[in-house]
Amino acid sequence: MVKRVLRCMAVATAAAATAARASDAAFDPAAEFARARAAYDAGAPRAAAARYEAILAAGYDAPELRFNLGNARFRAGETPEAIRQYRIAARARPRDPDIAKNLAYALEQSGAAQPALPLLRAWARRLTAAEWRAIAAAAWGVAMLALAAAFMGVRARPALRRAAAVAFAVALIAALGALEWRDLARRPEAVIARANAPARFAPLDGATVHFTLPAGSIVRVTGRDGAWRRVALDGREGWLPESDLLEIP
Amino acid sequence: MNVRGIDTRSWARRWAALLVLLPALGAGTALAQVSVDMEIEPGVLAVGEQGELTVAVRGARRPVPPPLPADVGGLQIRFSGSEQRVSIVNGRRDEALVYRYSVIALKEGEFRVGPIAYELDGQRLELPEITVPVVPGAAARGGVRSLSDALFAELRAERTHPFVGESFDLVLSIYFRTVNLDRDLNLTGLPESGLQFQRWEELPAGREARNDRLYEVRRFRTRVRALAAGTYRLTPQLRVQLLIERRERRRQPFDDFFPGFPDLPGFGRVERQPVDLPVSPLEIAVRPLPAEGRPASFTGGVGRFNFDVTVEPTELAVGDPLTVRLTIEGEGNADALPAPPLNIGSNFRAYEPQLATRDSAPTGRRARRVFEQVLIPRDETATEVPAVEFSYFDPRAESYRTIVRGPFPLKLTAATNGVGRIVAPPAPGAEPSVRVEGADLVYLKTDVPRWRRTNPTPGYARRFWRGYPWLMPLLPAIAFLFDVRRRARAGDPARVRRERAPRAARAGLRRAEAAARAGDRVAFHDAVWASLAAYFGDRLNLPPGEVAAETVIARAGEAAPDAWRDEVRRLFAECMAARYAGAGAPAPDYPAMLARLRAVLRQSERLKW
Repeated sequence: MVKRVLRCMAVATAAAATAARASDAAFDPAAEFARARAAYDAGAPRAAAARYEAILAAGYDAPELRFNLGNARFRAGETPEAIRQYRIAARARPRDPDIAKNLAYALEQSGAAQPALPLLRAWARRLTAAEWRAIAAAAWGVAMLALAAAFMGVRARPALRRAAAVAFAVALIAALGALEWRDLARRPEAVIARANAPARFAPLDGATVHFTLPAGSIVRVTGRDGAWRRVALDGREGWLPESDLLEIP
Repeated sequence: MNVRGIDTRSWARRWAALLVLLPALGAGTALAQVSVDMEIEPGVLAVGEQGELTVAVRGARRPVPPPLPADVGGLQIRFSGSEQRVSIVNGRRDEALVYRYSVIALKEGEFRVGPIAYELDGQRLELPEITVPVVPGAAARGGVRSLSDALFAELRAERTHPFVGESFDLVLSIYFRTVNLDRDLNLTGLPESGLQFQRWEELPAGREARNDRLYEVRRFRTRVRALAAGTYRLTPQLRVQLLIERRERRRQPFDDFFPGFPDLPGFGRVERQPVDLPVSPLEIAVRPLPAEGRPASFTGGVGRFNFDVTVEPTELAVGDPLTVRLTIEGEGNADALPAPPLNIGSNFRAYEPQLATRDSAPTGRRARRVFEQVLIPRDETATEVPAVEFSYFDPRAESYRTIVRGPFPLKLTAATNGVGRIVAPPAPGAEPSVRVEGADLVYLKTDVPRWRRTNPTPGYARRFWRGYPWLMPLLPAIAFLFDVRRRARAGDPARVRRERAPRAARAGLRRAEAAARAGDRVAFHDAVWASLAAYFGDRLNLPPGEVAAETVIARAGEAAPDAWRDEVRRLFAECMAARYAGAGAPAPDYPAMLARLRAVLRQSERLKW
């Protein structure tokens, strides 16, 4: 009886796996990626963007896809959305010069400034969140193993302790680097979608305009109140309707 | 029972009664000792003069401050501290907790403090009534009958019905005569929303006649901007520091050196006393901007402004940039205004306007903003920069005004180069036709090395990595415990032997079992002996020659059962006999002897050695 149940479960699992593989096989992201490029080359950036979006909708993602989608959006005249896609790509590939160049170009074309970061925070963004986490985990493991070996060993004890201290320091720095990315989850970035978007003193339609933001500006969302978002840029804060923003996940 | 004619039972009863009564008597005595005294020094005050009220509490186990009122008619009473006072008079010790209050006479008259109910340690006491006469005194020379005659404040607004976005002055005036004020003052209670207050600035001091009297006046001004429509009632609380001559003062060591500085703080004849001044409330009704007649180009400016526009250069090639400079200057909220929009159509490519200059007067009254916007003519049809409108609301005239500048004609020549230029602008709704020459975007990425699924990470992976930082420290912790154990064993050979004993016994047992199977009685007895000697030698840390039945039994102590003692003696005796007899020893019952040996070893493990 038990064997029969186990056999049924194995058959069901295999069938589900086959079905999943079949559905995967039905959609080939690489082929769609190539078709989108062809549409872009044919001078139809909106069609290319639609194909790139279809790949995303099918559950596939890659920095290269976001980069190409940014190019297609830019060519279609949707610069804020292009900036948003470049920014997403830059998070996964912070050291990719092509992404940085196109992002800077799109910002320049829209008249928005590059978001300025303090030196340490800019340095922390040179690595991705996953890279910082991996370094922190590896260094933490090395520190703990070295410490354990220092307790177990007799002759190499001082050297092992020094190694543990160095690894611990590396783990700490990497954890701080990872925290910089975590701050983005707490106060996400957003791109201004509308030209001369007025940031107001209060989340009210009639509130006084504090300052205006050019389309494509990258701001930090620091607060929410219904359909309003409090945004910060260059030390100033103001309220904007949610519809004026493209939030970067 | 009588001892020397005294009835000891009756004495015991008296002692018991005394023991019961003593705590009660003590408690009664303690209750009876709680007392309170209240006094005010001096007994008569002049207007503006400061006295001191003290409440001395004696005998209270849990003293609390007396419930004195903050103001009694023309007296302002403020808590100034408490102290423990101990004095010995004629050999009697007097201990009291003294609460001190400063009393300022605000106006002429006769005022009563008390009677006040005061609860201490569950007892209800009463502070007696004290009458304090306040006389005109020194201030009477100036006709001052109350402190409000000598000191008062007023708040005045330049506009009491401003419009949203309008700025106006708010002036606080403090009038005083015959009293001295410190520079410090504190103003609180202004609305936190709806009105935006700039920094307060002090205006030049002056004199002003009020009710046929001459007052010194200190004035403070702030600029207020109305942010939202509504009625705001300003009821500020103003606290000033009154400089009052000190009545009693201990001699200071600096007095002889600085006799000419009586008013310097710390040198002492004057002290600061805070006084709360009532300020008459002021109502500001902020009106919304009228919707009627609002121009389309209105961007929120409220005030009186000048607007100017310049375009440079006006002779240029297609594709070359030109700068439109927009200057807004005037009284009002110019510092918060965005750049007026340019209606340039599709003939120009426009960059976002940038704020080039921002000036504002220190008073916050006048401000100037200069915006620069870069335009690039797309083709030779861009013959002029269209007129630019700037609209604002004039709150004095209560109407909107519009200033128009331009248009600005341009002289265009053919393009000098085509680098990075969009040749055909996209038509609305249509797929844009784009041709780009020269430097531009980096081209598309041609392949994706690794596709990532957007579904979330499996739960087991997340759980592992969450636990990883907490699990890893277990490794050094275990290593540390191991190291501690190793160090402890290294310094304690007896412990090492004790821990080794069962293993040594098992080795002997195995040998005995092998000898039993082979029927070798000499080897069997040797193995049994070796098992006993190894076990007890290690267990009791004995040298090999000292392992004997009596030694083992003696170390086991009284707790060992008799059966175990007998069995140990028998096993040792049988082994000794067999070993001395050699091959002539009778054949033992191998299984029975092995079972007895195992039982002895098992019981020995349970004993407390």
